[in-house]
Amino acid sequence: MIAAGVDIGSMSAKAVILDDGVIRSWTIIPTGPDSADTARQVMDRALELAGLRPGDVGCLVSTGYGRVNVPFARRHVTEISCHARGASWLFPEARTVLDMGGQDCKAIKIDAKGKVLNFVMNDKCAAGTGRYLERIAAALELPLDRIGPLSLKPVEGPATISSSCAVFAEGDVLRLLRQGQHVNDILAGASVAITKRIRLLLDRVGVAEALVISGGIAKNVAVVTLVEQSFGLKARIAPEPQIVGALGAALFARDTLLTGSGHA
Amino acid sequence: MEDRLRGLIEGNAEANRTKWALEWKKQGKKVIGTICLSVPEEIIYAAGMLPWRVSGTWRENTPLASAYRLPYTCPFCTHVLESLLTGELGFMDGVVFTDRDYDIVRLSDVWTEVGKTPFLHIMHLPQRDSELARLHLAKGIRALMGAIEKLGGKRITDESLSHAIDVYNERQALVANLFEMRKREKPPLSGAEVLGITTAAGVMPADEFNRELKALLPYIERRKPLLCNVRPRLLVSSDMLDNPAYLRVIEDAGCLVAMDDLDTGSRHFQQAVDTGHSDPAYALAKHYITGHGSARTGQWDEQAQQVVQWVKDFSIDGVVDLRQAWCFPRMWRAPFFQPKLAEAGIPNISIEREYHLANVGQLRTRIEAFLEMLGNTAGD
Repeated sequence: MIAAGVDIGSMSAKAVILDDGVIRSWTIIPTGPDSADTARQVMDRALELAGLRPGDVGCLVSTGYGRVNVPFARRHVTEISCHARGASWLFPEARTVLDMGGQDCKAIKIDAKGKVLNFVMNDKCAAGTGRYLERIAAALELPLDRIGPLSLKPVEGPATISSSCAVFAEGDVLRLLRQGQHVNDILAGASVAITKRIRLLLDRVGVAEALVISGGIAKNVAVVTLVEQSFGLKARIAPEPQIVGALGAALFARDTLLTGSGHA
Repeated sequence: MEDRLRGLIEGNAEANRTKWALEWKKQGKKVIGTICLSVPEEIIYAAGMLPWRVSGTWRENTPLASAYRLPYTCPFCTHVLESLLTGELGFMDGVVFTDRDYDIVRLSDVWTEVGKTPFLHIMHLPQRDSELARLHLAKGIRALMGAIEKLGGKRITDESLSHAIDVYNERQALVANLFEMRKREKPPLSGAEVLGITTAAGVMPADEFNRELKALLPYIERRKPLLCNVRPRLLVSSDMLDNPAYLRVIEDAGCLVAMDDLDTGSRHFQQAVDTGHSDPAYALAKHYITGHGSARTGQWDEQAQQVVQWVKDFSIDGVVDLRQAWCFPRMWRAPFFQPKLAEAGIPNISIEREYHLANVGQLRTRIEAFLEMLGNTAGD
């Protein structure tokens, strides 16, 4: 029984194929301008990796901001429910999920079955999202994956950077660079700033252990460390945290095949 | 009849909202804008003028107003100022503000400097209800009467004021029928449609609105619901929300807005003015101070209790606080209000919105996730 989930995010598209409840393949590609085309590409790649054809998929559920533009999806479910479901499947002890994607950040409280009990999301500005770190990385002309390791090695201590606005933060970075501040201190300051936003979100929903961090931010070792220190706990992180939403979508697709409903 | 109903529902749409006012002007009569639903329309009506609730433009860009207003301020006021500066409000003979919100006061300051409206008046609105506050507001209402009398060149008689109160009480009673119908399992009107009608009431002459709604009520009573979804049933709470498209987006996500907590909706039509009181100004003061609880007024306990009661009366599954961005009174109230709803076991979510319809994708995701959450709770 083949079930699939496709997560069309603002920056990247993810697909997961489940075969009788086991992950058979997954893939991540950049999101293009056409959500339907991106969905087709990411699914084709996942099918290729799994050695399957489109006709082999019994049910496909889409999620992410482009979820309504996936023409071959049986139905769509929000990324909030999908991240909750995926995180709970990976870590049955999970009761709180922090997902930070390119466009938004969400804190989700879940029950033992992975169902959403409460959630909060960032306001519509980019501060507190993956986009914030992308702008910082771009201003410093650094690849995104170097931000975390460098942030953990400040020279004189974290610099003070705006946590309220991604645009102001970029201005802060340029100002600090002109003042001769070390890049590591600037990055450490950016990580502290984004963690403040995360803390606000998690406080609003109330953190219950275990905490799962998903989305691209989970790959940033500095932010993960700061969040863990802030709450005094050890976060659970999937081997590939970016596919948790697509995995949740695939699990909803599997429910549909098993029961005919697959209630979110 | 459906076309006639549609005409009423779309009365406050940008293309339609000025048509009654312009017709009124053709008859040589004055139109007075009201910025805040606590301005007593009855006084303006009693003077033979048309009280006209001012909406802002629903266009996204506000290039003219942006020269006078910071981005981090009330978007309703910014969009109203844009309408003023583009000349869309040039037909008004006057405008009455309250100091319900400091942003409205700032709007009145700019209006005084750059607007060409001949008559401007600002009323002080007490922050909470008390005997002293009622007396103070009654004094403000008398001052408004005096100013309007001076503008119109004739006295507002007791008879004309009494008649005005009767007309507006009739309007309240007619609209109350719509809210009563919302308690049904399958209401004949969607939440967006009800908001269309309640906002049309603010831009139409009260007599004409009453005639229309009275004629339409039997049809509405029997109207087959056009809604695809009758559950979950949501209550949407906000201030200055006069664009039904917001409620349409919510209902299109798969639910029914079965009740609202809006100054442009239920709160404006909650109660009638007491006609038994010897002092009409006092009766109006009591009405406007007790019936228009906004986050700006301090009666947060009563407001929370009211919402909890509505949740019971209208079989509501969840509450959406659709707060307008930079609405500081709402932001102050939220940490008090949300725990009250949670204590009552009412699922709720707070979502920020602009004045014009924007960020529809994000709004839809939040609403869909909230509906999924309600489905989970209901299912287990």
